[in-house]
Amino acid sequence: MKKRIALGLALLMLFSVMFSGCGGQTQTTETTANVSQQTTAAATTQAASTVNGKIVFMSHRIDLEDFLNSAAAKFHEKYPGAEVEMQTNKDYVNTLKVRISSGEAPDVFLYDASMLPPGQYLADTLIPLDDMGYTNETIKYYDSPDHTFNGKHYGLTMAMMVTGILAKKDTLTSAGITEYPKTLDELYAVADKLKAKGIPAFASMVKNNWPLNNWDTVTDSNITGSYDDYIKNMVNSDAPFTADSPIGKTMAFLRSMLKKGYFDKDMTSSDWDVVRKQMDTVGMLMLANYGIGALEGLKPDQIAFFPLPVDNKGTLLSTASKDYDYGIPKTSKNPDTAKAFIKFMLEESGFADALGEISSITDAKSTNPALLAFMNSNPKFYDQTVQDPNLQTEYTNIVNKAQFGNPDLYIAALLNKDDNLQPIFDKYNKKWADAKKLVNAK
Amino acid sequence: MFRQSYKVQERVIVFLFLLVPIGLLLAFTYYPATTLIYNSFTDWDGVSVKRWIGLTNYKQFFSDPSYYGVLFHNMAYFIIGLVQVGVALYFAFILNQKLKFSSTSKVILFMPYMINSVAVASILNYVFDNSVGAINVFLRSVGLDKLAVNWIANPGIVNYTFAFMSSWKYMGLLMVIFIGALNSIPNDIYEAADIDGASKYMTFRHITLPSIWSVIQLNLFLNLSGALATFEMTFSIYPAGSPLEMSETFVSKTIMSAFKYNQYGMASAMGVILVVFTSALVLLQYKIFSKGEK
Repeated sequence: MKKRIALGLALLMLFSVMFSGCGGQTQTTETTANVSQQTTAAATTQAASTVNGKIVFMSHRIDLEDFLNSAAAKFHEKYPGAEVEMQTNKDYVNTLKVRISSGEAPDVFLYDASMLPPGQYLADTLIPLDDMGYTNETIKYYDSPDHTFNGKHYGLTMAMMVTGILAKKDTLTSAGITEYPKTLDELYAVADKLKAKGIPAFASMVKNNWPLNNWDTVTDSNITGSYDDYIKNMVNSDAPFTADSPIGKTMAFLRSMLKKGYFDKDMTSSDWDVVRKQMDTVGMLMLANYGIGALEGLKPDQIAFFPLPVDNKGTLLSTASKDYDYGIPKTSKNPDTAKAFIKFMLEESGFADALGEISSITDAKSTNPALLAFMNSNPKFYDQTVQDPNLQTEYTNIVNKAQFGNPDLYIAALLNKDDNLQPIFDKYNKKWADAKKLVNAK
Repeated sequence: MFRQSYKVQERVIVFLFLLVPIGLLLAFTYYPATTLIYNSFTDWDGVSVKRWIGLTNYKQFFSDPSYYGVLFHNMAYFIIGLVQVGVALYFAFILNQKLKFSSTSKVILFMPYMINSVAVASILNYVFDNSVGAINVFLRSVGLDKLAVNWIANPGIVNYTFAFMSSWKYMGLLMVIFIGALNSIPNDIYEAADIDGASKYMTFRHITLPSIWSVIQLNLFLNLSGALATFEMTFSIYPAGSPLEMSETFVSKTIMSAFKYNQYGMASAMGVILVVFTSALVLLQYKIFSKGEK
């Protein structure tokens, strides 16, 4: 009797293990059949009756959870049969990569070229969004090589980022600053006033590494010719980092600011996550508009955001780039709802304003006072987008192989013990050359 | 089927019961390990097709100082770890005797082990802070300004600081292991030595040490493998990578390669290298120290 029970249990376990594996597979084949049916049925208008069910939207904006939840409620009001679950994640990129490769991707997520490389892989992973009715005129970056392949568009840019200097208005006024600087000399004057008040003129944010990407605006001001040519030169050169190169000039500029005492004393401990909650303790941050929504406790009308002056001739420069793109994976069970959600987020939710970014919808007017003031100062925009996708891929491959980015060079310049930056150039040129060799070895 | 002989039925049952654990073992241990070794010979970037490149990753590791150089950072952990083993033995020896507060002291010294590494890193990050940390404030207040260095930002010191943080956490564990070992020495040997008039030092050197020699070896092994695999301290304090890579350890460099720069092939190669390296060094340490066995 006992033997029979034991045997029966063993067989039961064996069969349940076998069938659990099978169940998963049939689910995915059903979903892909569903998706291909819905996309071939040319649906130019999203009939409200197809917008139902539950979808999951995952993003990296843990600081905007309240806004996202209220947007979810508004979406549910508009489409009572549909529901969106908002998920935010601090370790967003890694979590997303794992979920995509395991087939559990959220119905709508945000991505960029470093997470999902453009090309066939994109076309295999995401569904095309051409039937949503956007064109190059109605949404910015519509034809960006980041999300276009074989004439189809697999992503819609969520918002546009522009670099600039962020500060708390009260901090500036209490230091006696009444106007935003329009030339380099005026910038130094502002920094001196902040220094006199006893707070660092600029928070370096070296600890997080990524904020220093925004000093690329200075690099952009040094580039002569097109951005594609600049990247092509870098990709073809074995020693692209020299004192005369655009990056080298930025490094010298940062060192001159360091010697004037404009940075915080303990740069390696300078942390964006700390500084954004204590904007009284620092003067200016060289950041971008995505920081507007992240400064804790400050409303947009209490935030000063102005473009960086790059010379004494009145040139105000800001590097424009696209923020992440919305994408819908092929494994989504409710692609119609997902598309309706993306449209809602782009046009009705006010997400771009909450982010403090410029909406990708061309006609949208920002209601964000900080952004409005920024746009009114009429900055020149530098578009840091590589037009040739193959060039972009090659550049990214070398950067990844070499395992360093522009911020590492800026940080090395700031932390260097003296003004002799040649050892830094030598070190990074060697890394670049080695990486180039490995990437080009076929 | 139930009409088969008892032997066959037994075999079938054993086979069926073994299927699930062996299946799990293959799925979660052997398959990932084999895939790791395979990946180490490719230049996979996490998403596209894997391309076989042979030993290139391994050659790159041994020729590029930004890779093999991190092993020097690990060395700091090993050195401080040796000190840690000594300190643990010292405390174990003292607290094993019947002193007044020995139980309370044992608990206090063991408690850091129960705190999560990330929490330890956060707490000690504030203690070692250059301007407002407790240590530097104290040193400056007694006039020892020269000693108040930048514990976490100075490339020459940072690894020793992190090694100290790690040791602070794990010392309690080693101490408890030693206490267990010391308790296993029978008392009659000590009494015999006492009768023969042996000094405290002689007792320690000739009776205690040899008896717990295998446990000392165990702790040295833990120290070595821990020093090679450490990453929590540098990753908790510099999750985006340390400035100028000054405090990257072998494992944190592997993590950065894989997840920040999509170099999964290289990271897999580093994983394989870690296993081989650890095995070789542990074997070497064992050979050296088992010569001391009497």
